[in-house]
Amino acid sequence: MNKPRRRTQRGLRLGLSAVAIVILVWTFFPVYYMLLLSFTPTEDLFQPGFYVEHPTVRNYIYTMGQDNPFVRYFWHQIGNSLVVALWSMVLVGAIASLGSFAMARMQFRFRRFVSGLTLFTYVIPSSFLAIPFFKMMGDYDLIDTKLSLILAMVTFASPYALWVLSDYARSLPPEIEEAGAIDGAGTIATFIHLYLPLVRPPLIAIGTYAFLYAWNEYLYALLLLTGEPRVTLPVAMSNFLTTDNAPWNLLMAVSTVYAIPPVVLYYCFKRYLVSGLVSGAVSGT
Amino acid sequence: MRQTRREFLKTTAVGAGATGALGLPTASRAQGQKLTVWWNKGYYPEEDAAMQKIVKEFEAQHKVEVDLSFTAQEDLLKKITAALIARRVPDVAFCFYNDWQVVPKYGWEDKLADVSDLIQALRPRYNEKMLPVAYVMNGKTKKRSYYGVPIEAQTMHIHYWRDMLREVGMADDPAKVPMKWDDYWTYWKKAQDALRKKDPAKYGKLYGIGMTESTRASDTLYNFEMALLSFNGETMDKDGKIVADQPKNREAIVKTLKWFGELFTSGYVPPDATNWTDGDNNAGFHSRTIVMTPNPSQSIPAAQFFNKDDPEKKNYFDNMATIEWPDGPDGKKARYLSAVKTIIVPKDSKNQKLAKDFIAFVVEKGRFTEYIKAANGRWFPAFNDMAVDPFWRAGHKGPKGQKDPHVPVATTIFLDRENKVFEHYKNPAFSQVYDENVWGKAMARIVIDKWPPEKAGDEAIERMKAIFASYK
Amino acid sequence: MSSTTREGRPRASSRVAQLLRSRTTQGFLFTAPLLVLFGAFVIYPMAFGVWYALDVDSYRALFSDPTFRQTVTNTLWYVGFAVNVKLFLALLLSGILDFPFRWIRILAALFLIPWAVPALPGILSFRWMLNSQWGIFNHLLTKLGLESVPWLARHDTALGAVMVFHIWKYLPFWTIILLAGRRAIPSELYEATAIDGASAFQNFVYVTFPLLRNLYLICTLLSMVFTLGDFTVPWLMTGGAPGDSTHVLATLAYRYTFQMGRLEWGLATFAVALPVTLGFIGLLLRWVKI
Repeated sequence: MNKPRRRTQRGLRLGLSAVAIVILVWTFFPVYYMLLLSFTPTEDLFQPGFYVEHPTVRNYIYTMGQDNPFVRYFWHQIGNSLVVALWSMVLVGAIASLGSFAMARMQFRFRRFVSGLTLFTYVIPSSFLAIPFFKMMGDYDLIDTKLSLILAMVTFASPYALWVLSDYARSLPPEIEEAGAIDGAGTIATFIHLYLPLVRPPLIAIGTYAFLYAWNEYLYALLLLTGEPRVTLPVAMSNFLTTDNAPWNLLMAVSTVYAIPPVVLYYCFKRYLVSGLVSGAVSGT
Repeated sequence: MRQTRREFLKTTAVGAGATGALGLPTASRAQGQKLTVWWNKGYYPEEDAAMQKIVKEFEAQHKVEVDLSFTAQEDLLKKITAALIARRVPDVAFCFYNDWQVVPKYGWEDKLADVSDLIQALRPRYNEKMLPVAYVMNGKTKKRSYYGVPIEAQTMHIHYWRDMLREVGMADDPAKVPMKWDDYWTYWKKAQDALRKKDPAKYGKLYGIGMTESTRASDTLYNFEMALLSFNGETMDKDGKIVADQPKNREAIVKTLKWFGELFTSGYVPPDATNWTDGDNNAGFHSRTIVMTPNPSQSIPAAQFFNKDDPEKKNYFDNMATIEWPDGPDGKKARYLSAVKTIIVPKDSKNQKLAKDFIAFVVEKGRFTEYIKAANGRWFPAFNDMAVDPFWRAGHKGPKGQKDPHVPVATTIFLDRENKVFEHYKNPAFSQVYDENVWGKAMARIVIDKWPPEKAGDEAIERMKAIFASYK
Repeated sequence: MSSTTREGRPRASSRVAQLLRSRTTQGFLFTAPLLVLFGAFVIYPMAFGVWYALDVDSYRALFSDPTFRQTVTNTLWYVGFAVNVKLFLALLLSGILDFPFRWIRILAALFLIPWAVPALPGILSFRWMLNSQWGIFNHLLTKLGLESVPWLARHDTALGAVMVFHIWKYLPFWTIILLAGRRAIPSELYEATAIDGASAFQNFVYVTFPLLRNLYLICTLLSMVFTLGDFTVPWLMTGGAPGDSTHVLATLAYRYTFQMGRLEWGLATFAVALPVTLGFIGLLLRWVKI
């Protein structure tokens, strides 16, 4: 009785291991290659290989020191990315917590309408609205300002944030309003002192989500910001590609630096992220 | 909850700081006029620095504030297009693509300011051959006028590695390279074969001819037009009407496309050339995986000149050379096309007079010479009084007294050879033909889809006719 | 202070207070920022876009442009093929990651890296690897004695590269979602089928899939809509080359508007996709509640 089961167990483990290795290689190879290139000196750049013969940190030094015409504004650009992402995070957090409080805890007449509008905004691809959005920002004279980009990011990241928070909030016990009412607190007080502390886990999750959304955004940043010191990092990097003599190893170093905050954030808040983001999707069905 | 005074102050401070950080449009320091100038980012920091110096001098002399920003050329074209669409325009815009894309199209749409007065004032200094570039038709007034200020030009060069030729015992002196059409191109093919044979490990992936044939590159269009001239073809007549469909021209177009196709499939052009952007042939040349490449500016030698890893500038003076385009298949000497870079003033600008003053200031002889020399010979001035500067004939002097092998060749092409400007000024429809990279698409049809050149040529000509028809 | 006058009618000030206390008003106030945002930045641009898109001439120009027709085909391939392959793989992988071994859990954590890394660095890395002269893939091919392939210089392989990258980047996300879906299935069901001696395959067919089906369909719909509007991946990977043959709707719209200066054509390009998108949204609205 035991032998066949152990054999299938072992076969299962082997099969799984094989699959796991394939998955790992598939997942990591492009990332590994990017790192590899960032440590490659320019002379060896055009000799492909699986490892670097003479690794160098020169590319990172150029990047940090803005010591090359391509990275002349590196700190400005990463600063811009940071400012936009942080503001998006804060505003999305605020808007989604206010909205979710209403959606989940209050019965008000046009709740269904707000729900539909939110879902619509979430599903419609942001690129569809990019061109009219751009024209609108032009009319308000907000082109080339970080504000225009922040507004775009907040608009498109809020729906999912609202969804996740509302879903979580619905699962909270109804007693909190009653507890607030007993103590004589108004709605606002209940919101600030009772609601917000309770929704902290998904709030962290969606804050991180909004930060990542804004940090990774390309199209809107490309349209709304121009001029080297004012663009965000991904736009600056893509400009590398259109010039003569793009030093790819330098570009990979910048890429790596650009990729670090999202990966770090992801790992710090992974617990919140995965559970928060998933719950919305699963229970929404 | 009642806000305490402290909380209130905190929020206002944050708000004020945020306004600054967000870059909200704050109340402008209204101290007289402000001029917004968008300038194409140079390839070398020296170029940008020279322009910044000019701007500072202008500010001091005219007591105005100038908001100068540098943007990379692709980005700047998009920015200018976007600004003209949204009608939020700068006062002065200089983009390397203005002559092909902006002046004909937006001159037609009456979105650019008429700068004839400025041109007339500068007229005595101008190289007349370069002026037509800005003399475009306005679709609203139905009249031609000057809608841009040409300042500098680029033309086709061919660069190659002398040391590579020396390595396989081939003559490397430009004077010794055969200039007859077939012999010329065969020369580089021979170089590839010889090098690959000599050192398969090092030169196994080397290619003889770095000919860009991609729809993503403007180099493709330059290469095509040069080759078309060599085959004696024309696409437009002097009035801007399309003549590409005339039998003589159609034949020339087909021959040209066929030649590009055969070059690509011959195995002497890198297979990635159909996907190259404008910088990829440069990258290939610098990485020494190509022996020779045509490039419509002096950016390749200039990059080597500024190469920090080559302080003695050996590549610039000893290892590289620039050579002219070969004689056509009919034996006639090459005819060149120059692309003349042009400054524009949008019509919606509120400071047109100041903008024109600024442009006049920039192109004053002494100042402009400094700027153009900082670009290291990448551009050739459109003004005769600057073209006679000995620098253009002599170029740089090498550390061991070597002669400059690059800049004088460009000067010869501009001053001694037959050349004309690109024909976009004749008809704005031509800008769209270039936008769609019709010729690059035709080449792709032949080499990737394996169409016969006649079919690809006919498709391209039909598309050209359709585009021209839509511009009434 | 009593809230009623001596005649028993409510005072004016407390009528306002009552209004403020009414749920509708409060609900409105709390969702006001959201509504303002959506109204100003979604509805208004949408209306603007649709208004421009009513210009018939744009469509005439569009449909006579061979690039546009090719683009529609590309987009259909991209959305139809890449999304479905991705979700199918997600379904399989979620099954694998559901095993309770410890190292599988570590794998699940590492596995999300492509999703965390922004698209741009990933794409740059891919492009370099696919370079036909110095890319690592061709290097391997030639080492094995095969011919090197100009990956990004041919229409099919270039479009394929876009699809492969898309799958690489977004597969982890949907896998995790489906995994959570699996975990939400009560284990009693599996215990019941174990008693009947069901095999793993039978478990999947009779328990797992029917319960995951809704989630799977919704994920497919969502992913299709997102991919339909994807700009970043195709643009950075190929930029439409070779020969404008690998454009998708979003990149072509960008090209029309910002490289050719034709705003109407750009908006019309998106408008062409609108009926399908709205259809999908309608379906989703019916199935999902926020």
